Amino acid sequence: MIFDSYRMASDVGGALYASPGMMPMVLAILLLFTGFLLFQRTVRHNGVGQNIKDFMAWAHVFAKSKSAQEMLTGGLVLALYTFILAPRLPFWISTSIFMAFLMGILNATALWKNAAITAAVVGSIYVVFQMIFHVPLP
Amino acid sequence: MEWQYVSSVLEFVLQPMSLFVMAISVFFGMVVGMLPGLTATMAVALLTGLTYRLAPEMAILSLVAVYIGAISGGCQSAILMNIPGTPASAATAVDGFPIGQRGEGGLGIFLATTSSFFGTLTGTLCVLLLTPPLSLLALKFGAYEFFLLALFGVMICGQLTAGGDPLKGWISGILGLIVAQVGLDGMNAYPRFSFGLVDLMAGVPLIPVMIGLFGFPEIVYGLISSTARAQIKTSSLEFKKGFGILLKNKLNMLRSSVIGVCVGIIPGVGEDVAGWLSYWAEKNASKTPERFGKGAYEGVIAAETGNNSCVGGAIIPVLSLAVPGSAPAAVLLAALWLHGLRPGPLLMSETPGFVYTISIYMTISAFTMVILGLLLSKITVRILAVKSTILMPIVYVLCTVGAFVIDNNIFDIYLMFAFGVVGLLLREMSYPAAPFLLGIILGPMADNNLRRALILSNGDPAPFFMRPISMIFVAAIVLLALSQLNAFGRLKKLLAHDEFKE
Repeated sequence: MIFDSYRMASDVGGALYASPGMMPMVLAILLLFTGFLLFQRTVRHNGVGQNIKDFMAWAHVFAKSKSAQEMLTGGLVLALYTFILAPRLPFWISTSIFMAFLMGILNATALWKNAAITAAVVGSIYVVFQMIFHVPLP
Repeated sequence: MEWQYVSSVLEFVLQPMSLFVMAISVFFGMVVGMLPGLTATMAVALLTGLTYRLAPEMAILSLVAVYIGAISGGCQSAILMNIPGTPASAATAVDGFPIGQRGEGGLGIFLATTSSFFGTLTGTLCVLLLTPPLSLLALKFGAYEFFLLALFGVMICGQLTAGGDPLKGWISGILGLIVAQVGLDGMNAYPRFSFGLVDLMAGVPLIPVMIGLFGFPEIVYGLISSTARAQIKTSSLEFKKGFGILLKNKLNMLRSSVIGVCVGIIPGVGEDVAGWLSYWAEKNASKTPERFGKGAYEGVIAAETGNNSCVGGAIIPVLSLAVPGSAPAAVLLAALWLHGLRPGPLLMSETPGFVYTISIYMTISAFTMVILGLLLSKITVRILAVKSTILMPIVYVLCTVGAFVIDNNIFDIYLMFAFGVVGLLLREMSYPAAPFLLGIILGPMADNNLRRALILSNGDPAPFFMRPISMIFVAAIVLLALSQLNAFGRLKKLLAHDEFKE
């Protein structure tokens, strides 16, 4: 950021304090300073080795935790909906697939209830936004 | 003159459609506020997107109503399940849950809801009384003061929301300020950190960022199957006994209201701190502090009055300085901008009636909140039994729609997701999200005013330290930084060491 801030100043010309790089540079220096303080404090309290050990222990617990796996799976389905389904398919198709699939893999409820909830939610959103408020849906 | 504004606003608010929208918004806010994991900030952010196509008056009425509903709704799950629906209700749970366990859940909800009502009304009164003088004071602010105000706002917010680790709060605030630098800069229209992406040229849009930052982590945590909830029951409301208890707590309510408003005025701090401070003050003032934590009615009254009066307090700097007093107020500020309003020092001269508009919206929303809260509590608490694995996919779809409808741009959904991951990481590593959000809001103000100030003084930073109001801000920032870097402790130790030597 510091390098880029200098580049901005030279691109625009004039004094650094009036350039678009002024605020990013101030912020980069502040971040560097606060980051250094945090690093120094952590090293002083625990030492580098202990920090690495703590991290490895946390990662081990995280990898084996059922909750973490559910979170990651859920997050992955959210990402699929956001980046693949929603931009490519009409709203009602993408959202129906997303909701039914996510509730299904999380064992949220019985299959028929899953289908009913999905249909009700997609239908309600479509009616309220698209038909009543005339708001375009993704 | 004032009556002219009041009558025109009342004419609008009392129309059947306005009352209907307000009732729906308060109810929606109460439900979101009641559901653990869904916060008031998320409720306001979500509704900002969903009401974008409404007329500005109706949209703002809806947002104020949802804000008030969400802050008060959190008490119900706190009392009945020991799970604060919003962080603002965390202090309520300390005494509220033991009250619920005693079989007095209805009485607890009555005390909490009426205290919330009182808190909102006193907050509204303060909006009316304090916004005009604060706006007048803000007119004396120049570029130097506005830059320092933004810096102070991020620092104090980082300090008070970081749970004892201000350094992390400040880092979060700086990161938010950095995000605000993305896009064309306000003075030279130079593209900064946009990596050639046209979608980033106009900067990072606020609403998708807010929805992601506050909503996404809650949704991901809610996908864990073990967070399913049990059916809960509530008892009758016991109006007569409740009013008796409230009358005995007049001083408590008044004190908590003042604390709430003062906390609200401090940039970015918010309702949770107001609730805790009011609770702590009442416990300290009590002759029987040992009853607190075991179902003391005073504890619930103090916490709920404090967090709801903070709503008014948080709106005061929004209107007078364009600086939000809390995270939901930050979203409200963004929504006001979206609808073409310009809160800030010029508000009282450009749109003098707006303070009355907001005050009337708040007052009528408070009445709606207390009526709905008491009438529908037995129905609304049933929503708490819905499994989060069913609720969260629905909420995510609403978040996606909310992020998309502002600009009808699919890129905003990507941004929502990206900032959702940022919010998740911040939360996992114990960095508060509120300073990050405040940094994004105040970033353009800090950037433009820093450069404007330096241009005015030909690059000389001296005026930052010479002008009277600037000096106050500089002193506050320096004291804040030194106190957290343990400078005073070291100085004390050094002095003690010298005395010992002598």
